[in-house]
Amino acid sequence: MSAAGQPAPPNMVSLLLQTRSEHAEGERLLVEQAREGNREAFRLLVHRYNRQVYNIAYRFVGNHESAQDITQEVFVKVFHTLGSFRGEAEFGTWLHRIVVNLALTKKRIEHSKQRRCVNMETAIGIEAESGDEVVAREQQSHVEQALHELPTMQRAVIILRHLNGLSTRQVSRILNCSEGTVKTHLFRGLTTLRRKLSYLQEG
Amino acid sequence: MNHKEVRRNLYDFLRNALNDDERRRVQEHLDACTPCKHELQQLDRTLQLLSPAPSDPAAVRDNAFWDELAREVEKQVAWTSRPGVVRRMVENVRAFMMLRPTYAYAAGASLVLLVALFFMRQPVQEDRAMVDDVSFPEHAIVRESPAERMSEYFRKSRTLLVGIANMRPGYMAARDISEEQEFSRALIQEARALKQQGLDPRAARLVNDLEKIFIELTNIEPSRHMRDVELVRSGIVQENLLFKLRMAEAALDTTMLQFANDGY
Repeated sequence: MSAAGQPAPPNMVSLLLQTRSEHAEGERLLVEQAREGNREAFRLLVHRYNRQVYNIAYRFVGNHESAQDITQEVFVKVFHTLGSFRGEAEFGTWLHRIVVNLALTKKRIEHSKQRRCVNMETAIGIEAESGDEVVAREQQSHVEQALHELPTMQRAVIILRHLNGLSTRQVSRILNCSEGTVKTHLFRGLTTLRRKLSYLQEG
Repeated sequence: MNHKEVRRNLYDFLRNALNDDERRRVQEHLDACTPCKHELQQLDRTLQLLSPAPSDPAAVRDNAFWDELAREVEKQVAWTSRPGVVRRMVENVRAFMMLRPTYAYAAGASLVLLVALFFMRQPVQEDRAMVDDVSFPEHAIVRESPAERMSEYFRKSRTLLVGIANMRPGYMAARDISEEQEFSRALIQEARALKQQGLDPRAARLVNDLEKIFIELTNIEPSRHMRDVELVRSGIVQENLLFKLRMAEAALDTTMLQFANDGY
């Protein structure tokens, strides 16, 4: 329900038909209305960004369950902190910052709790896999493991820039650093990744 | 452009994300610098390794999932929007604990201790009286039948082997397998006890195969364990041990059921 005198939030169809500038303007309107407590506007923001948030979260934590948890937490946090969003950055940048922070926090907590992966009292069946599937799965596993062992900033930059396709500028704004720093972290991260993957593949 | 600047731009160079001027300058440097050219080739190979990664993890989720997620967000927002001192306190404590797990563990441990102390403060004399009144000679303790013991051994073996077989290579490098090795040692002991009580030939063969695998597992040293665990995994698969264990357990279940039905 919109406040008296305020335009109603755009609906789903109109959002999809927008041009880029209309999109930016529409989003500003949506964010403003969500800040004022308009639940429908907030719902539309959730719809607009849920998959993006999920993908970023997944890249950081490596599993769907945690990605789901983080996605929910992100939007709850957005709801409660939207009042402090003053529009000095784009909403997307601000949102990504929240995702990255929550994902890194969750990753730190899980890493410090992690001791065993094997549940000794649960029998799990092995599904038959073709040779190619096994190789691909193991390759992916090497990559994920190597990625998760990188220093935080290098991992964050690789996930945001390479795996999520954000621009250097966007990443620099999310991580609050210069574009040069983003490029340096990216290069160093990929170099480290290459070394780790060579070791794992030889091992 | 110096080396550092060139290397920082190699990713964008490969991705055609540089403007014309930047691209020309990087190319000029690469034409004259073998080490940087080598870095470019290495980077290219690394990006190819990363390319099998799923481009859209969210795509595995259907519309029902997103609807449910939105509903869950609404519920949590509604809950956290409710006024109330107690609710706010709960949320603040929860948020505090999530970021400071040591406090959460301490709180959990304290709670467990309090509960334990509460139950322990019950009069002990009554319990002692009960024990004194009810004589409990050792021979009255029910022992497992040989079949039950064997079945339990197979079940535990299968649990351990499934866990080993499901270990992803990526995890092996960072993991400590001492608990699996401890479990293996216990199963080796159990196997020896079972052999002493006498086994039919088929069961004896399976127990021997399992013992070999468990011995290999216990002998793995930390410095080499990734490759050696992989060998154990392939041994499990080659010997078809999981299938044999399932068959053995099924056969024992049938035997025990028959005995139970016959009133033994």
